[in-house]
Amino acid sequence: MMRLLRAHVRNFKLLEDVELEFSTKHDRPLTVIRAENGSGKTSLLYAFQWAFHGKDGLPKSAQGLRLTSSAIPFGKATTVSVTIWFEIADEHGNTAQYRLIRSVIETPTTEDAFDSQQERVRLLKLTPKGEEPEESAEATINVWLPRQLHAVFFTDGDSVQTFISGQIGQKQRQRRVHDAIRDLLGIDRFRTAARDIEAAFRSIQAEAAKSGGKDTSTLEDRLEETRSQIDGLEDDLLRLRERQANMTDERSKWDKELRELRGIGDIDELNERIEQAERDQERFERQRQATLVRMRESLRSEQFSWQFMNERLQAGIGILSELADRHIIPGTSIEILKDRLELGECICGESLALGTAHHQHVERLVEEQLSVSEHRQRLTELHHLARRAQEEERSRRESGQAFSPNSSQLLAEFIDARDSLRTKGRELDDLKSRRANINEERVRNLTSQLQDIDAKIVQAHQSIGAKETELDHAYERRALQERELDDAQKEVDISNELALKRDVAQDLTVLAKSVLKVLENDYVQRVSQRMRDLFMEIVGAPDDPLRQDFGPVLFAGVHIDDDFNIIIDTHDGRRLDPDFELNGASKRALTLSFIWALMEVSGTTAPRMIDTPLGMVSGGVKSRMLDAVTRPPIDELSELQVILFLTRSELRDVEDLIDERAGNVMTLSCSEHYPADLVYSWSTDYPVSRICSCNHRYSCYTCARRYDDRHGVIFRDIDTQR
Amino acid sequence: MNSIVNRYANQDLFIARVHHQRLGGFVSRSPQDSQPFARQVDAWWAAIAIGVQRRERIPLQTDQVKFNDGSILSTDPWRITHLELLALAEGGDEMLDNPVEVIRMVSEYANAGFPHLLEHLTGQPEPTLNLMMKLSEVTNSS
Repeated sequence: MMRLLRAHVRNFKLLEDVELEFSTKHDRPLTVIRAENGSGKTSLLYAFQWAFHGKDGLPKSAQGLRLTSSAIPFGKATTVSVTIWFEIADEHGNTAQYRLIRSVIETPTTEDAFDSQQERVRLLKLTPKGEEPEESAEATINVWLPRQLHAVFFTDGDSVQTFISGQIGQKQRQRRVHDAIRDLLGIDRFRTAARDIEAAFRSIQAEAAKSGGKDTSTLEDRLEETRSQIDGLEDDLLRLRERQANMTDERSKWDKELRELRGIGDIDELNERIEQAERDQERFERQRQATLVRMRESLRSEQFSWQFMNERLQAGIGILSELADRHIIPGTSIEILKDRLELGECICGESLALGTAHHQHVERLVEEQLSVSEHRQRLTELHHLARRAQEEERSRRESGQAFSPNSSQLLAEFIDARDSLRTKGRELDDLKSRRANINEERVRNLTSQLQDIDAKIVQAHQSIGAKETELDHAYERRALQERELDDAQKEVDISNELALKRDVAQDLTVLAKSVLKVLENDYVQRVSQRMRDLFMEIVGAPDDPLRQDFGPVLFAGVHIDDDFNIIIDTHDGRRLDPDFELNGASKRALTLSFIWALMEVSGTTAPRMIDTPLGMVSGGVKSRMLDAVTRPPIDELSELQVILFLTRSELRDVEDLIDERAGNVMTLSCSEHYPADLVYSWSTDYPVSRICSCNHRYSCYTCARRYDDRHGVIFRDIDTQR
Repeated sequence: MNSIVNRYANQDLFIARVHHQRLGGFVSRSPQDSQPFARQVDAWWAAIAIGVQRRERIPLQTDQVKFNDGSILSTDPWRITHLELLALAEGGDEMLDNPVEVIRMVSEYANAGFPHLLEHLTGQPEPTLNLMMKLSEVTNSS
């Protein structure tokens, strides 16, 4: 059992000086590194792969790349080093601690080239007396952590799916599953032994053929020729498959980069949102200006005058009323009397038609009123106007149109428009900042490269198919020629000793092949069964499809067939194609189930480090997946160590489970994310990634991101950078 | 339909020079401007309202600026009604016979109101908004 204790990464890409500690608690086997896209997760994963297995441990697409940051100036020699402290426990429970240091000095010479010195690797055993160097560090590490399996131990959440899906042919998918089972279960050594036995058989068979005379010798020559052709075809096929695998790796890398770029925001969508935000801004600005215009109107209105001078105006009206009461002002208004005469009807209902006595009476009243002094006339007019104005103001107040409610409404509308403007302004800044971060040319190039490589992958797939058909024909020809030779040999007189040797060798070959087949089948069955249990648990499918509490259930089961295909069965009798009929969440669930099953069946106990395992996974599947892969072993003697690189979005809704399972949570951030995403600047002159001790519930000056507060992340007014 | 007679058309309207100088920046110079007041008479009337509300009158000193004459009041006839009601309340019905006295009285109210009005406007990024807020506070607390 290998268990990681801590690590120190220096100058690996943007990881200038990063220290990590891993949980070693039995009941909390999980360590979480919270990091957003572009923070250095992949670099950290590569750093571990490089530390254990050198450049050969890196994915093919990354093997030729420089390890130092592109910010290192040309000509500056820089030491890259990764130090890992770990513990090894034997089957008896005895433990020993080690320190592994891998380092190299790199000097960038141009944009694309660099000089690299010989890598140095040292493995030191920590003893009470001090550190003792171990002989053959690489070989020792390879025993604890076989290099051919590093892709299983250190996994990228996206490429992990290629075990069961991706743009590869069925044969290649079968081969990957087959290889993974064979490699992890150590069947390869037995396969080599079986081949040695077969080679011995061939040699004896050839010797027997020679001694058998000319006829068998000719047959043997033809058989050898066919075998040579088969060897050539197998080599061709291997090269083609490797080429296709390399192209698939390359495609995966470009696709990931493209998705990360698009994760920032699709440029067209961003432009559209920016235009919409600018239109909204203009609309809010118009609203704001319109409200100001209405405020200005309000400040010069009659209502305003009434509001502020009401008491004095009412006093003036009171005086007029008093004058009226004292009959200083005529009780009957000239204007009213004139109006009534024009209407031809008195307010009491009597007719005021021309020539009537009433008409004459009212005319006399008008003349009397006109004869009163100019002063009283003025007061009378004012009394009439003032009462009308007072009535109008009362009506405005009753309908909420007076100055006070109107001003409150205007202020509320103004503040609303101003706040909307500010919010929209911030949104616009954010969108523009995101747009500025998108490298449009890179997006175009990647899109074009992906189209090209897709065509090449399809072409390679067709070439592989043709080569496989050719090989199948060669196998058939060989079988026929072997039978012909066998028949011919029976007819010749060969020595008993040679015949005995040949027969024994032939029997041993058959036996070795049979044992190999049984071994593989047995392991495949166990892996298949365990994978099924895990998958069904994660996707939440019950064994009994009629269980009411699960709702509609699609999956009936999953298994590995004799040809190493992973088969997904449905309750309605269909078989699903992992490429097209499984969603992203189910693909990840299936692949993780496969890997976990492999590890369990093989008894391999090594750390499992996975980058972005919960991408595209949400809801119940997410929590069940996390639950399944971090569940502490029931057996106290068994150990599990899981290290997950999770984005904030992956952590969402599983925070409580992280609380329960994680012994340590850290956060990795990159200075390049300021100001678009990070809230605080680190004041660095060049891009760098740093780690802080904030867990999934907190943030600090190093890792605080915009909108953290929307998801309940609490800011701590401290710097927790490690 | 009653129409009011403007007996103040021949009266000159004044503002103390010290206030008039400060007021300049808050009155629009063209229809496209968006200053708090479209015309000086609107600012003058707002100052009167504030002075009346505060019950403060300050006599104008000699250093004053004529900004218009009383004919401008006809553009908002209700102001003449309010002017005369104020005159009644301040000096009784006899004051109505003396337009000079009426204009002097409201000019004193304006003179007392201007410092408060200008205080709410000066140094504000959005003077109209600030004035509206301050005046709303006054009305809400009264």
